[in-house]
Amino acid sequence: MITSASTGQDVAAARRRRRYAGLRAHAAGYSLVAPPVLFLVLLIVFPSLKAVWDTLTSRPFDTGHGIVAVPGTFSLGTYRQLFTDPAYKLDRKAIVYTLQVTAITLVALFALCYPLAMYLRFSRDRLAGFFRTLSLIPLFIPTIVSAYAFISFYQEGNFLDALLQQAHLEATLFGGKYPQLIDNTTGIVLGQVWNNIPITVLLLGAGLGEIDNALIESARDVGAGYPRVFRSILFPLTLRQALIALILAFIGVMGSYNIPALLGPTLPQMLGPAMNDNINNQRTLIAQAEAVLTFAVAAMVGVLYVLAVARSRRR
Amino acid sequence: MAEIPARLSAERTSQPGRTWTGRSGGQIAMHAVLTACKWLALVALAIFVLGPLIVMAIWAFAGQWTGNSLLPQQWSFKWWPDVFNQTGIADSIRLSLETATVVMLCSTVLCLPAAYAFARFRFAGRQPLLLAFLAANAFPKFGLYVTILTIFYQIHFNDTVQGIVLIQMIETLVFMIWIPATAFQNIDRSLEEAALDAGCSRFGTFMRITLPLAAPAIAVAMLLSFVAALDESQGTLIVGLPDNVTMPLIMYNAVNSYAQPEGAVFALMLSIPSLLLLGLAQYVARGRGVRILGA
Repeated sequence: MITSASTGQDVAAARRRRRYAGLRAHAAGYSLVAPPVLFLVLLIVFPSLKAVWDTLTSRPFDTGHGIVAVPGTFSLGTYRQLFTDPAYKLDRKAIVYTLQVTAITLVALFALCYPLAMYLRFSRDRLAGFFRTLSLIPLFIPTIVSAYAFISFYQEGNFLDALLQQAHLEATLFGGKYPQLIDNTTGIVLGQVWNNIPITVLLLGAGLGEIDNALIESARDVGAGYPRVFRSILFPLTLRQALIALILAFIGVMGSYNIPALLGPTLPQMLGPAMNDNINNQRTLIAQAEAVLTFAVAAMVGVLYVLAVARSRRR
Repeated sequence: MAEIPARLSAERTSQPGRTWTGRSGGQIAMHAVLTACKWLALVALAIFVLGPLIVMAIWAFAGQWTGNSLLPQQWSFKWWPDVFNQTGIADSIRLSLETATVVMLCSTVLCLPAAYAFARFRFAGRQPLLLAFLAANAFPKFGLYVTILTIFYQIHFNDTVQGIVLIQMIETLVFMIWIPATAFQNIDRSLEEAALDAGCSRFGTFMRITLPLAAPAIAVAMLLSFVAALDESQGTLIVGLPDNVTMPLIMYNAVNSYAQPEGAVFALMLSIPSLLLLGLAQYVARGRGVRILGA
């Protein structure tokens, strides 16, 4: 029995069996994976490609009762109109405002989360556990509820106003007038930072967690101060996770509706509320064009990330 | 490279007052200031994160809260029955629970076999496809919902429960693929081989060994999917209105009209089930070594 396994015939049969098993794994894999992949194609790939197609083959025409899409030849007409036509001035403002608010949010988010993640990584005091849980809380609160909570805390006449008055800070710091923090850019930034703390801290924490304590200790032993340790060790080694966090927050903020609609100003709008208004006012093609712009910016950011990772791998 | 440590250590020994045994007065003062700043920042952070939630929770039990008082003048439960008795609320609670359940079940049926395949079969394109489900989660959401709505208009899926279910499923895929796939991958294969050797069929092995071992992870993924569907508001707003008002959609009205105690009561009602279910998910995950969010 054992010796017969070494004959040529059996080796060939075994190889056939192995190849058959490999093919079977491929077939079984694909057939099981196909349903959710098909779902992705139907609900993400197809709609986004259709929006690209629609905006490139139709152009918007104002009937006086709404904007209809006039089918035409392949052209950039929709985008040209969106970027030049006086009728879409507010939409252009929305695009610029979205990029501005997103940039401010990212700076604020990282100014808060980098020190927080470092504290959570290196602190040995007992409260670190409390702050770790604290930093995850926004993950478990629906954004819409957080928006409501923000209004009841920050709006004029509400808790913070009362607190500042009671502490006599409103008179000394703000000239007796409550600084409005809701229904403006500050409101959006506060809300977006709050909602993005968990994922940013988790990602930065994962990056910092991979750094060996011995590495930092040896740098300290040869005389590196904390700024030097940060600049030469912590920052470069967490760059990848920081980039992922940055990109996720960027796309999240750009593609959001709840926070800008509920905590932001009426005008200028961010793209989320602007798209919602457009689609409710029969300006579907413009809404689609704006959606495609968010996809394009997200894609560019994604490509930048891939390039950055590829470059750091080559080094 | 070799010179740098030498230079740095030279700097170190040349610094006055910086020895192993003691610190200069300036350094102690500096340290005190830094510590004070740290604690101030942490207190500010705690207020920033918890403050709005606590104030909202207090509002839900406030009988009267006027002026610049820091606490309500009167406490009361009277808003709770009021909110439950409002027309439409019971319907929207039922609709929310029904859609979230359907979303969870559909997502499980759709994704669980795929999660198994990702964990156990080596096929070409496995890794990119797995990553596609992560990437799908990092898509500009609202633009996507808008483009989906234009398709739903054409197939008359707007303002339907089917439409809501489909749009809510998008956010659940990443949980239902990644968490069970990791669990299937981590199961000790020798247990399955032992069952096979003992004469159990492949299907029997799956049902008696593999599935029970992966069950906690699957339960966690299902809970997370349920909560994601329950809390989903932006996509539901786009495809559900005007007739399919889930709980988060009522919340939009509450925020816009700022009906204070009622809105706070409803906000708590909306977050408590999520918090309980996520707490349950965390408990199951902790006990059985399921990894959520890499933690």
